[in-house]
Amino acid sequence: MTWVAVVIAGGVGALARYGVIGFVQARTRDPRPWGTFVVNVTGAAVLGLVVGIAPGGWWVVPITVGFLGGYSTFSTWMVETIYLAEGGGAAAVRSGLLNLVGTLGAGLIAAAAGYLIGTWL
Amino acid sequence: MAVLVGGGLGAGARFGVSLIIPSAILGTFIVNVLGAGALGYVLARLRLAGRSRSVTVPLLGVGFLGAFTTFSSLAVQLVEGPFLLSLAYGVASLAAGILAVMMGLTLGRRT
Repeated sequence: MTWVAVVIAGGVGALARYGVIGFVQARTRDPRPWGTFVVNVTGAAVLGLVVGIAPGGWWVVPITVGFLGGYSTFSTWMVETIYLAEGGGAAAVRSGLLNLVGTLGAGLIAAAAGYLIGTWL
Repeated sequence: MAVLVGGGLGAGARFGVSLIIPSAILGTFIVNVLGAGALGYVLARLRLAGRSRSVTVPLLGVGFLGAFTTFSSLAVQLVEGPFLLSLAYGVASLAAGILAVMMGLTLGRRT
């Protein structure tokens, strides 16, 4: 039963990611992958918050593993990093590294902030 | 619709891996590296075949592999863990993820 809920929530999370990335990319002329950055940082913040609150209930695994796992993505982040770094010399490599370190750094801060807020609530 | 279906199956598969692999960190590491490599392969393959607009992209790429891998769990696990473990886990995830994508792209671009 949990499995079914994870599949449904994961599908909705993936769809939300698709929507948010489209929304963000349509609002910036910057070719860098801001959409993926936004979903990953917000997903990390909300998961941190939920883990900090540590609620009980049948819906926790579908929301954390399903929705937030489906909403945030590692594979797209990695592929976009390589695309940024590919075939353009030192500036391109710097751009890829910035995407890698910037997303990780912002994600860690977001997760820690969400967690701290969650433990206070 | 393809994103919804692919994403649901990807999240379900990741949940399945988490039931099989007892360590949460190892499970996340495995799905992330596998998913990143597979996404590189699929995208390179489709581009080579001139099928970058096919339904495979939203179904398998954005949906399944996007949802199979996860950033939120990685970030929270890194914040929660002891410093040295998190350092090793973080560096290993990024290095293996990048390496997997490069391998996937290279394999996918072979004619």
